[in-house]
Amino acid sequence: MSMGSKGHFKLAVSNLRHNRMRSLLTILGITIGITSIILVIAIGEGIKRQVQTNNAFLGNDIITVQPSQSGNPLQPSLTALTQTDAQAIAKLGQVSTVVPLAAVSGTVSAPDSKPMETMVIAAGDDVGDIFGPLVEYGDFSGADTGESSVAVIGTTVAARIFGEQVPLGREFRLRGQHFIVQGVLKDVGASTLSPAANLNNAIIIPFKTGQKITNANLPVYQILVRIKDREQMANAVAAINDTVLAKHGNQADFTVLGPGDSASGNDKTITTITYAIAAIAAISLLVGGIGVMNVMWVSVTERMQEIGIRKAVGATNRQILTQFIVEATVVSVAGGVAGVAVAYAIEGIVLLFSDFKMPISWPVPLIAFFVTLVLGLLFGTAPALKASRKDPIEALRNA
Amino acid sequence: MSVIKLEDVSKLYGFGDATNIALDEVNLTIEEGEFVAVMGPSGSGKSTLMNVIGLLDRPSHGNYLLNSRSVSKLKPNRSAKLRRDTIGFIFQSFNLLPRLTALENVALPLLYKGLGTTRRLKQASAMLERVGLQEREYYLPSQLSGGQTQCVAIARALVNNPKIIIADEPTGNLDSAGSRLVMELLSEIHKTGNTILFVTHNPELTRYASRVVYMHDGAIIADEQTKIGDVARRARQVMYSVPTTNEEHDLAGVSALMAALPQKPATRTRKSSKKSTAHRTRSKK
Ligand SMILES: Nc1ncnc2c1ncn2[C@@H]1O[C@H](COP(=O)(O)OP(=O)(O)OP(=O)(O)O)[C@@H](O)[C@H]1O
Ligand SMILES: [Mg+2]
Repeated sequence: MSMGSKGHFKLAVSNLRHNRMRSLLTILGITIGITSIILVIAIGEGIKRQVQTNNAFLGNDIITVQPSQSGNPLQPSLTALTQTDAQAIAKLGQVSTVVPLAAVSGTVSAPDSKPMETMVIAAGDDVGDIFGPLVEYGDFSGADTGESSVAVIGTTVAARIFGEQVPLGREFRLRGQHFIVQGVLKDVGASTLSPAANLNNAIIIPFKTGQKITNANLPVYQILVRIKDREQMANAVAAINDTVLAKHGNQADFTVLGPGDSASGNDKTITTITYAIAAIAAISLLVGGIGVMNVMWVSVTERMQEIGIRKAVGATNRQILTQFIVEATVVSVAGGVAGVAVAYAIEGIVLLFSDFKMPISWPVPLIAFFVTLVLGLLFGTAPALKASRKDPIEALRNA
Repeated sequence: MSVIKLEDVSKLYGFGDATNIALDEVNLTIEEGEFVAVMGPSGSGKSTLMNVIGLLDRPSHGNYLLNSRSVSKLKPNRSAKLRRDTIGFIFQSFNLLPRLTALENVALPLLYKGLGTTRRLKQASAMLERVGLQEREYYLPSQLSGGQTQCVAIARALVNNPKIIIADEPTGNLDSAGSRLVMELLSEIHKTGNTILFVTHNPELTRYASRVVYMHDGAIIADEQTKIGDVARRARQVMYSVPTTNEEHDLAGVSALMAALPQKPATRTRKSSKKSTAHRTRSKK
């Protein structure tokens, strides 16, 4: 006995089109809310994937040790590891290779090229054993002769400093030290060791050289460990953990990860922060919802005569209620759909100009649809009730 | 069987000292097929009576039997459905939805009845044809003349095949040509068996009616059967030799009508002593 849902939908759309600007602005409010929530969660997810030190691409017998942050999650103590930790691990029986990695800052200058900042990794002597498969040209051979040292460089850096040609044997200077390029890495894509350590942008130099040119005890941000028997993975992880724990005076300020493990400590923190920010973003959605309610109030007040006429020709309270709730819901869901679209667009644009991936997972559009549906129902009901309960004569008189 | 039977129906607005008696224990019985004109000065309760009979409003006291069924205490949804199916309402100010075409306006009651689009538009189209506006189906109300607009409103009132048509000053916003158009149309509808009530300030229009009811201060003070085609006897008393729909003359006519009509008795028997204390106010219009 009631008009079809299609009829209600068409009616709502035609009313919204009549007040085009107002409808668009209301929709915009919801769009902003939905977009910001989706993006916050996507960015969080993206950061998580970057931080996840998933060194599985190096081989399934590689264990990673890295500092964790037990204190303030926003200021991870990246200096918690030292070279002595690496030496201690190397003494373990299960271990075949240990490579400590440290970050060195500095400006690279080469003849015929502008000086440029890049990321420099000082890596332990056995780095070739682990990064070897990633080398495209040359190798990790050679050593610091005092006068001159060696380097293996990422493909992006290679192109930026030396141009198109394969720069094997070419020279550059860093912090006054002379280097000869021994190898060039493959394009390792966007897979990263840590947010700051995209190998494409890295120059890998011997650990000793790193220490020499910085005159410092280099802070180790990661220790890569190859084990002899991958069947003994769990065992080895435990042994490494115990060793480093002993070195650190029983302070668990580091994480030991098997291949494919993720830095769960980081994960949890990032997840927490992500959802905290998403909750703040949700407030903007709430504001959008209140915008819908506001517009519906105005609309109901403005359209008293219409309500009166519809009732006079036989519309029941329920039919009027449905009309206005559908209208609120159409606005809200339109905002949601636009919000999802904008979020995907921004994801695409960011990916176009950087290699930062913000994965928007598949249920997101679905969830956004239901959230905005509920929002429309929630904020549309009060104005719609007002409209539906209006006495027909009073409504007609109000005009 | 009477179609409409009002038993001591009162309608009060406000309360306490400000109580305004719009209908004062009205008793009225209307038989099927009657064509009733309602006359009376401004504020006498004509619209209130129409709204109560048309189920747009409900009485404060008394009983209303529509087709022998008491409807004075119906829930809003029930009365909406009853209104939709049994009553067609025509307003002085047309009350069409300005953004809908003539056709869509006429189809509106069918929408709430739950008919599909095709059937709705087909029936509406047939109804527009009946009022002689089949060529104006896609016009907006703003693109029609006053008379045409009211004809669309009449088509809308008719589309559900209601037995009763209620028209509150249907010619109030129209010139004489428009009035004629509308009254002729109502006349035709009456001939097909509908019961029609209409309010008018124009004594000339009582020609169309078979019965004239005169109201004053919320009460029916006179009720007269007339021959269709003749101006009602009491209404004629107040007419000028040259009938006109000029507004000033109408107003003068109304005052003259007032003078000619018997005055409402000062005291009447009351059923509720409470009501007799209610302060009576008169519209200032
Ligand atoms: N909503 C309301 N609140 C208070 N008083 C009202 C209301 N509606 C009508 N009245 C009063 O009820 C009385 C009857 O009003 P009604 O509209 O029925 O008069 P009417 O005969 O139709 O007048 P007109 O010829 O001017 O249309 C008037 O005194 C009016 O002021
Ligand atoms: Mg009136």
